[in-house]
Amino acid sequence: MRLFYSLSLNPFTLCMALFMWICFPLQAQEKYTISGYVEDADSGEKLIAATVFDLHSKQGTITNTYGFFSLTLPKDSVELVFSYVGYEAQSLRFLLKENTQLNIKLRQGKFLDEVEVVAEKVDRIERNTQMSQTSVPVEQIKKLPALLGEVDIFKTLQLLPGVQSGGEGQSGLYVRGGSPDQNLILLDGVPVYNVSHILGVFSVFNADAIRNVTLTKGGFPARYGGRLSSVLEINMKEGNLNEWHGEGAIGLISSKVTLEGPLAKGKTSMLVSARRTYVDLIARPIIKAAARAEGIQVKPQLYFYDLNAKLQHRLNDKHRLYASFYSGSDRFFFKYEESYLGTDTKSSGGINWGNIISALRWNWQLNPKLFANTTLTFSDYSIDISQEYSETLAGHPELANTFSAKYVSGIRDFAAKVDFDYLPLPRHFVRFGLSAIRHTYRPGALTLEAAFEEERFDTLLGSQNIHSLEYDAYLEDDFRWKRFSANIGLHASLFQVQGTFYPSIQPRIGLRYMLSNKLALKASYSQMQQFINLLTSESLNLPTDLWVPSTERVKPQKSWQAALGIAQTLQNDWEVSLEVYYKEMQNVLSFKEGASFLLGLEGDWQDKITQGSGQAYGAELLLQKKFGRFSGWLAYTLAWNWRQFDEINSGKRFPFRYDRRHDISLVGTYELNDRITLSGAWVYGTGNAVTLPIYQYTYLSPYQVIETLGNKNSFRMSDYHRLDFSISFFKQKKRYERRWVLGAYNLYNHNNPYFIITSNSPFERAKLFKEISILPIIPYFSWQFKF
Amino acid sequence: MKTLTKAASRLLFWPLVFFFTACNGFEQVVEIEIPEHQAALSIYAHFNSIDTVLELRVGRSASILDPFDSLLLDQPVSIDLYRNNQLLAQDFICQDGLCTAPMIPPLGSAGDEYRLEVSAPGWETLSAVQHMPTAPIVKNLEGSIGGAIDPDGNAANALNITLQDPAGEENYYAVEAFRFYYEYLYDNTGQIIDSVQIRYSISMGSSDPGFSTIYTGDKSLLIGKDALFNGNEYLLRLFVSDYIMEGDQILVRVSSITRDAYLFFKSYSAYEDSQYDPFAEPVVVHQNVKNGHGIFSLQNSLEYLVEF
Repeated sequence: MRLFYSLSLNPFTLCMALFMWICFPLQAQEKYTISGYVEDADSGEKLIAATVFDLHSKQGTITNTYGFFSLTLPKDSVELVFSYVGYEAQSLRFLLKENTQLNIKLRQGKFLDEVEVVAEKVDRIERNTQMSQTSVPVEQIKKLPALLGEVDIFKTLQLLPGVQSGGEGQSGLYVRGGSPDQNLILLDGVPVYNVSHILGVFSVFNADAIRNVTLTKGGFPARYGGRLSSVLEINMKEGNLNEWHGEGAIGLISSKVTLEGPLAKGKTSMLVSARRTYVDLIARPIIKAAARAEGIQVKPQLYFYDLNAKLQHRLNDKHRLYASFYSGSDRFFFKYEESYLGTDTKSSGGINWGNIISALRWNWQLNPKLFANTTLTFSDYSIDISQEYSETLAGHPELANTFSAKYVSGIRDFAAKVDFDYLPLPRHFVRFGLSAIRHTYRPGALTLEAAFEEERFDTLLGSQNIHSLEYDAYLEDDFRWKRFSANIGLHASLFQVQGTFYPSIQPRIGLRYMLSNKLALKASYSQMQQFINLLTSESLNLPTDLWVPSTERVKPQKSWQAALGIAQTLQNDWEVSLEVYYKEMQNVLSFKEGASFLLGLEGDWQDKITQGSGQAYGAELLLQKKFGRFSGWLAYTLAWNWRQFDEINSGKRFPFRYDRRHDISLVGTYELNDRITLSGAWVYGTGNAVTLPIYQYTYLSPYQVIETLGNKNSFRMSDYHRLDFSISFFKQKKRYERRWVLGAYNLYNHNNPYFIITSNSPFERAKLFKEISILPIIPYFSWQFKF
Repeated sequence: MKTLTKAASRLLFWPLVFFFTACNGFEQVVEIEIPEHQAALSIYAHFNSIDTVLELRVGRSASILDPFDSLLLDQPVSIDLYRNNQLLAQDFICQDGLCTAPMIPPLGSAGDEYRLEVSAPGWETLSAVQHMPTAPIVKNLEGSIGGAIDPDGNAANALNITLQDPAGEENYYAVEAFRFYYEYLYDNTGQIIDSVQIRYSISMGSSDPGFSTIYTGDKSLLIGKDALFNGNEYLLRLFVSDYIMEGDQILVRVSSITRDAYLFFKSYSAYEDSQYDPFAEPVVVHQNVKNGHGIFSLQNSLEYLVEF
């Protein structure tokens, strides 16, 4: 007990022990390393988590995020099988007598069922030490029904167990009782701060530019840090190295196009993808005509756009360079002009918000066992709100009254990191790395200019920028021993803000034991710490949500999570997993009673929040089939989610707004034949928790009434359920493929509640509660092409 | 500043309005099971040491689903106010829920215990207890034209109050300011035969972190507590928004208020604000009565005429 105590307090000792554990077996016998990349034969895209397996020694490994693998085996003949779901397997037999570099190209198969997979797959759900992790193939996401036909990665993720949406049509993710700011969302390794367009209706990720999506809800490996609840890794496509291709879609509210191809065949490729909505272009002439009839001139604008770009260059077999870029923005603008009784009135205003993200990445295979990835990143999220108003008396410009206001807020990061993958033996996969991030927060600055006849003023108000530095280091080893495997690691971080330092050591443990050849028992424990916070409404993602750091007053959020589960691959590649989890959170944030999320404009944000604790626990079931003529999943979540703040609800524990007891998703895609694909998703969830008044009494007069609330979140909205459906018609044309997609959101038009209002009954003078629904049945179509 | 920033913050509602008007497709009335509410008497009684007329409002509570007029009490009410267990006033006259007691000697004497009991046939007797707070110790009070800067950065009229805070206890303060005008009564010939001085409340603000301006439902009030200056002399800097000329006088009322008064005013003000902001966190208004609802609180005031 004493020894354990000593070890637990000494990370250096732990690291050394881990290092010895990894390195000691190296001295055992003569071995050589086979390393290289596995990639798509047609496009040159690297395949993530492809299996490399030696049939002789029964040893195997999987490729990393960059398609790299390394397998060290004894000097002997080997028979390697390379496989990847959806691709034809390839085998290679040779005598291993020296370190060998291999670049393997796999061809896509029609369906996995038809591919003869001879290898024992290392990446089966039960083989992987990692638990609480789900990846959904982008191709599958693109086949599912979508609101207004706009394919949305986040809305698909909301259909997974343990993940909830904030509200009807919203893109926010609430993972295992966490809030949206507790998700680390990485686009090519760069944190994305604002993930939604149009007040959370769509996410900023254009599926055409995305290669893969992986969500980790618990059992976090040591390489991840900085958020409590989840890590969502989204990798952009790299661009086809061999030939030019394009795809696109024309839909009800937006269109998009993607172009990719080689700049130098086999060496350099590029990808550009763009998307824009055009509701404003359609509606503007109608609005203008209607306004003109009233003698008013208006110019409204409301749209968003995304632009993704990526460049890759292979210097040689050992060095590769990548540059990725994303820019996306929402723009809401109006202009209004009117002349009335000799007075000209002009008014204009707007809100613009968006992200700019870029990353420079250098992959370097230092030796057959060691792979390095060095990244420089930049992430910027900003919002500006402006308003101008002028009123001029005809013939008297000197008597003009003008007013203008501009509010600017945001967050900007510069980061550098280096990650190493070290594979000394088939049974060890070691990762270690360092990173440093410089955050700059702009909590809000307001510029005001006004002239009222002869009086003028011009002023700049608001908080100054705040800077913080965040340093992280990690070491983890994913090792296997007979039926047992484990991923053990440590994540260390140091956060510095305004002279305050927050150091943290976070242990991470993941364990797996094979109960039988296809059934695994898994367990995990992880501690996480979070140094930046999003001040946001619980009910709506708004661009004005403010990113702020932990400060001397606002302590970092902390959590620990433990999970236990089983995973099994069934017949026909169905996978099933069942997990139970418990998560304890400390220093979580909430607005105080009466505080509004519309802050940043007034006062110190620290005065408006309070910190408390939270507990989330539950069980999750996922039955999934990823590939084949039929693919889809059934997800069920049983969850409890609590919060406690001394300054809220009289200090009593209360259910979190998104405490959802039951959550079910049934998702399926079926290819009727080569031309027609049917797709559907049915979701059901217990109603959101709400706080409602329960009684009333008078104050200064009979008409001044004080309504008193019941316990916080002690009421429930009606249960949520809806069915989405789509059918697509595919046709191979002479020079391109085309696909018509017809579908409907909320097919049976269920009134799903968004919020509750009280109103007076027209007949009885008594009050009523009304649930307001915002999204009825919404049919859509889109036309897609690919060449 | 607040006016301007509020104006700017309204910009944020545009996309919200667009969002909801564009999507506000349908609504449905739902039956939500509200726990049965046990109706009880309710009061609002805030007495000041300088009051010469006692006024309080009496009503009854009702379920949130009941109509407003069910909040009026249709039974006769009996009200008893005790000071240190001695009956002080009981002859209240009530009309439409507003109850007024005949003039009595002003309340006063710090530390005195006041107990209010309200009863009506068929209702459980409501009661609440408060102790009169110590009057504030004002060491200096002065006003100057243009002597302050408001949060917008503009010159404003200053009102500086030097308080001596008693040590070892929590103290809560309130500051109000009033100006006057006269209404005249004329005879048939146009001659003034009488005049009435009318006082009206004027708005004040402060950038002091311990104080904030709140709206109590019928007036604005600056309230705060001594957390930052307990037991010390403290200069409270205020600015007066009203237009003041040299030689003008304003009446300044500096008060100590009970903790319950402070919590009530603070929470009621937040509650009022939240009524106009659909995204504000819900607020529970502070109460302190037994067997009923509402608030009974006390204020010990000193008044000063300040010349600018």
